[in-house]
Amino acid sequence: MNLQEMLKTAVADPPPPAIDLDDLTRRVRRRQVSTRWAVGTGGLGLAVAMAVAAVGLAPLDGGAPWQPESGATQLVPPVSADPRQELLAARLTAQLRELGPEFGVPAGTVFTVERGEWGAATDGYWYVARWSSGGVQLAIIVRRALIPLEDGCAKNGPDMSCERTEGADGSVNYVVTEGAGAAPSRQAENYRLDDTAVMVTAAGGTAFTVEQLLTLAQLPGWSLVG
Amino acid sequence: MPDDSDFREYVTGRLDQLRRTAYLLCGDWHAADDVTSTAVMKLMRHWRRIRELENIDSYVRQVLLRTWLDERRRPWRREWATAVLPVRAVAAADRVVDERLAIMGHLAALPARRRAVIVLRFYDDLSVEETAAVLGCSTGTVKSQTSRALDTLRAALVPVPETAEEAAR
Repeated sequence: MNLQEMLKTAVADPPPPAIDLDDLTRRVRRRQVSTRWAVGTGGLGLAVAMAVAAVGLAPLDGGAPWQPESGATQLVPPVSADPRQELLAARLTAQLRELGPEFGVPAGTVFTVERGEWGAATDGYWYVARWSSGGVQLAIIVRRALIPLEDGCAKNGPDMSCERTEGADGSVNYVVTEGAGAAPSRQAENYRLDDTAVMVTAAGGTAFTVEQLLTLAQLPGWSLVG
Repeated sequence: MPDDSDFREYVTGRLDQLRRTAYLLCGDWHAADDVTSTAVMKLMRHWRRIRELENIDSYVRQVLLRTWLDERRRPWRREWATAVLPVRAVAAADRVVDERLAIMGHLAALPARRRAVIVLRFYDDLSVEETAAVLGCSTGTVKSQTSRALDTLRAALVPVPETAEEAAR
């Protein structure tokens, strides 16, 4: 048997495809809508930021920076997140406050809005709270993200294990442990049908189990809907 | 709602071939379905531009291949190749299954680009030039990668005798 025949034999009896064109079409359309929304919002934000920067930085005649006249109010507003984002961050902070003492969240910990990395959030932003408890660095990241297509998870290596599970409601969870010994990194992710993804990470200690992190990630309060 | 009938017609006609190519690259039908789905979604997003291309099939193979390579780069997808693959003599009834497993195992042990070259040239029947176009490399590279991959496969694919008598000869 030559190589061509071997390859053809290897793919001779494929199982029924797990590919649903209708489902893929729906996903693409949803993604296109959210991308358009993000581009529109981003473009508007960029225009506002440039306008604000231009007013603030434009030198006057002779190169002297602009100063408001005595008694006049400052025209350049402070740079801040979109009011809607601030509202969402405040709502997530309220949920953070409700966590029990087991997670050791310091009183001043709040959610802030950050630019998402790697295009990981469909709208480009994520909401993050970070704190330290018992020497373990904890972080919760809430972002808009679609449920991943892959139905597997890890190619578990010698230093990393990953497990994917599906909830009864159709949500998808991943729990990952990386590193061994006294200072592993543990992570739980919860992808929801409303396109919210919650990632909880505990790095540098064994004080939190992945089950605890997953329970935390699954709290309904971490939602970006509404 | 936009009319996507030509896209559906195109994809439906080639889905089976794409899945099989993806399977030879991934070595796993579930992963093959994932890669194919992602590639189909990418095609759909850019279909208005792609439909105007002269050689859509070549572009689609390129998308599939890049999707597979991207997937492999994800930390949780990284592969851990085994150095030694089990090659054993089997009864004639198991021969087809065993050959299937053997070729998949030996393909999986090849570096990604060499595996892609073998699949594109010997399964998809692409020429050296077409393979170079899909992989985005020179024809010389395709030839050298093919040669090295074939050397590896030749060394690994020990012919298994059909019968006990043949084995004893």
